[in-house]
Amino acid sequence: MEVVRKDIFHVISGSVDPGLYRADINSNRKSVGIIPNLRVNQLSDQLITSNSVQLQSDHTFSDGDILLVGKGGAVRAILSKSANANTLLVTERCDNLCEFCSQPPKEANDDVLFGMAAQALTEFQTSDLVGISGGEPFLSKKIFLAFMSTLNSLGCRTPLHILSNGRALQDISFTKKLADVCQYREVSIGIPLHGVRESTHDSLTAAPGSWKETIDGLINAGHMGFNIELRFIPTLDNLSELEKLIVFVGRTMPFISQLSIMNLEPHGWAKKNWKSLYRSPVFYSKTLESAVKIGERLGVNTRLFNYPLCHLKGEYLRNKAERSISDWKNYYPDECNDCAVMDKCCGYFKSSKNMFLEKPRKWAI
Amino acid sequence: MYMPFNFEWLSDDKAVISNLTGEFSVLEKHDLLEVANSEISERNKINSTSTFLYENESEKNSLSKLHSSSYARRTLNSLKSPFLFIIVPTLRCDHDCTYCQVSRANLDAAGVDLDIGSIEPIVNLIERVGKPPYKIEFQGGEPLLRFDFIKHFINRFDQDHGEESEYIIATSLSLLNNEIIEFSKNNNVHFSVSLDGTSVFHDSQRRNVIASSHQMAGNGILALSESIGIDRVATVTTITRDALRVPQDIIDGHNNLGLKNMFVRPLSPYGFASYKMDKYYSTNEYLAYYSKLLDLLVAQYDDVGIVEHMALIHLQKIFRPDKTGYNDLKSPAGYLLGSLIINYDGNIFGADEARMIYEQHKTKELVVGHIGNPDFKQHDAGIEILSNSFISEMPMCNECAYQPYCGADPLHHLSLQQDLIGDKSTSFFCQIQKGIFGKIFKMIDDKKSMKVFDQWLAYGSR
Amino acid sequence: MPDEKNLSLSFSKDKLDELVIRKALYQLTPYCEWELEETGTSWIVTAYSEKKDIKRVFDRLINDQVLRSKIDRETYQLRRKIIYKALSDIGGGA
Repeated sequence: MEVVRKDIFHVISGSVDPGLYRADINSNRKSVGIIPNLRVNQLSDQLITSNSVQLQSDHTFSDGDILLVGKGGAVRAILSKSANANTLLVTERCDNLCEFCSQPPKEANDDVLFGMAAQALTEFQTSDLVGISGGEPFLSKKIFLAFMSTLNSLGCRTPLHILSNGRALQDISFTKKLADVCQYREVSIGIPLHGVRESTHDSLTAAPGSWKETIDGLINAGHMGFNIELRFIPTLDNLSELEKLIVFVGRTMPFISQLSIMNLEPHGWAKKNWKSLYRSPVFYSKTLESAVKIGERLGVNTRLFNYPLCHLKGEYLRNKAERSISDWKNYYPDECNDCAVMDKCCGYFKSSKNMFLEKPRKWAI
Repeated sequence: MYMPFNFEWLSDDKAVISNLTGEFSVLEKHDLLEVANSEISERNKINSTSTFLYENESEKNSLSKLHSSSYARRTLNSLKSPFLFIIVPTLRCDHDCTYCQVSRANLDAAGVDLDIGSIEPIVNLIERVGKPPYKIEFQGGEPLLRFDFIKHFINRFDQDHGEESEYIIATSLSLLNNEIIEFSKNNNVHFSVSLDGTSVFHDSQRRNVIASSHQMAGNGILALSESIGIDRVATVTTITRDALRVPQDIIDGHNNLGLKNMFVRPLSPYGFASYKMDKYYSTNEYLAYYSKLLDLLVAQYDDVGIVEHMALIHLQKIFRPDKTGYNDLKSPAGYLLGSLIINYDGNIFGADEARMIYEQHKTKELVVGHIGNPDFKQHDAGIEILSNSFISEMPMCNECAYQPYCGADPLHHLSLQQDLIGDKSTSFFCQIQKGIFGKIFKMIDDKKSMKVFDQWLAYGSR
Repeated sequence: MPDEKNLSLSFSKDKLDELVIRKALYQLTPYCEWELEETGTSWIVTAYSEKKDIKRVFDRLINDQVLRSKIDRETYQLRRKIIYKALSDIGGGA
């Protein structure tokens, strides 16, 4: 099983101190000078080479990519021009404890990650969207504002999509400061809402008071004109509220730019709780279609994330599906090679194996 | 426990409920009574709603904030809808329609035309008050009597704003010629044409001494359809007493000309028509007609594929109240904030109704300014009109289920009841709106009709 | 009004609020002329109309207003709070 893009490599010869480096392959792109260059010769495998797996694409990373060299000699391309999407982790701390968290929180102070992210983004110089995720990026409001300020003063203009539980936005003065520091940058925020009932949401986040704060956050962010993507993750505990949620959002949050319905990723705590969470989309196709249609009527732009096309019944739903899985954790089982629409399908998470794999189905087109 | 909500009866045993977020539900009488008595059973349909019920104080607080922000947003939205500029180049007209709303003048009348020299100050005014995209409509009388003015104006305005302007000419098409067609082809000109049915009905109320008004309208529509495309031709249908009996007629009238859109409205009380108000029809008679018309359109949608836009506007207000702006259904009203009318005498008005009232009664208070005078004078009447158009606080409006979707129309009430708010229990506007909303909600509650409405909504958002 | 039949209805003040009666009468206006009198213990409504169904129409209007006032009693304060907050948010430039 091969992922679409390999992002982890090993140093085979020579020694490289752990840290951030800018991949210098052919000196094509100009360096900003914040991060040291690491000369990489791919043809002669001199400094860094991949392990023996054959890759689908010619280049696994490009000139100007940002590499993170770890202590054991593992090298990861944390920002790459070859990636279908780039996301930077800025903290592993979080004030929610979602049952299906794919990045379970840690408690240690990791503010240093913000510094690395600021350097990496500035050096990478892209005008494509980069995701900012965690943990909860807004957990330390001061640090986040300082992070944005730093990017601004370093001249980094990269558009950012920040994944947040939205709770920090209940603080209107933080929300205003955030709007200020983001005013010359394209920024969008992705916020999950697990249900329309406080009990539904709070039991899934295992954080009492989180629903109330997230709602307050959404209201404030809406008033300040933020571009909000709302997320809903269907599980056995909240599927029954999907249609209500669409109406809820359509009526009280018309400012959201998109509602993303996201199929579970079997990673982290989701794996642990899989049996009590996962529902096959094949069994809730009707509800899904009805909800999306209600959304359409209300002007809610709904998209489906992480749903292999063969798990969705009908053309209508398939047209709403996105190729949403990051290439470094994306794969297609062998059966997919026969599929006529493979190039339109998002495929699977690399963690969808064995008991977590819902097999591809055959549908007649 | 439930949030504040309103209800209206759709029939003896069904009611539609709505709240400040605009969410609605159609409940059977026993379900509504359960709610009122705070004894909501598990199978009560209100359980499938999302903003009506709460389980504890915390949910109540959050829902209150959401209701509040929804209401605030809707109100603000009303204040910033796109602007419509209406220019009346002449009051003269080659038709003499029985229901004329604007006190038209004869072809040889003097002093009822705009001078070409007024174009520059009008352009300045539009640039000052509005912003792109610009929507400019020419009305009359018969605007094509002054095609010279229209041509000059569009050429002048296009110099700076050609990419971001849409022009509409409201005309009977009796004077359409090749020059006008050519010009319209090369500029973003749309047409709004009166079509009151097949020739019998149309000609009986839209009278022209030269030829059949219906024939000229039909020929004009076909000519435009072939040259600039049917998408740039919209019709307006005014229903009079005779037409009430045969709702199929207006459908045929449109279908025969290949038209896929119609806009149907009842007689309004302005202009000539108000003297003869009692000769026309009651609101109940109109609503019975309109109800049949909608049923026919829905039943025939697969065949004739016609969308009725009065209903569509109401549907859009029901499902997307934040994204829909229609000047006559706004609270606060669209007066002055959504439209400006530049009359043939250079006077500026805040709404079409205002100039109609002025034409009849010479009400000076309704004149906002004059294009010859670059500064607007203090327009006290405007503040009075607008502050009396917040319907959430008016008697009957404040407890009406259609409030999130409806509007104020203070000038209608000013004209008919001499009061900006009016007595809604006898208000023509209110009865018509309640009737239309009631019928539409009944149809929303019916799967087959809603399927067609979904197609109308999809068309409306393309 | 010598030729018209007058319908006279009496409502005990214990059972019905003045506001309920007045609101129902407001809606009765399109149907017929009416008068409202007050005694120590009751409200007396006189409807001037020959129409046979006036009592039925009025009863329905009263029922409607009773239902509305029930709902209103539960939610009146909250509604005022919500609208007040909305309008002050608008004023504050939210």
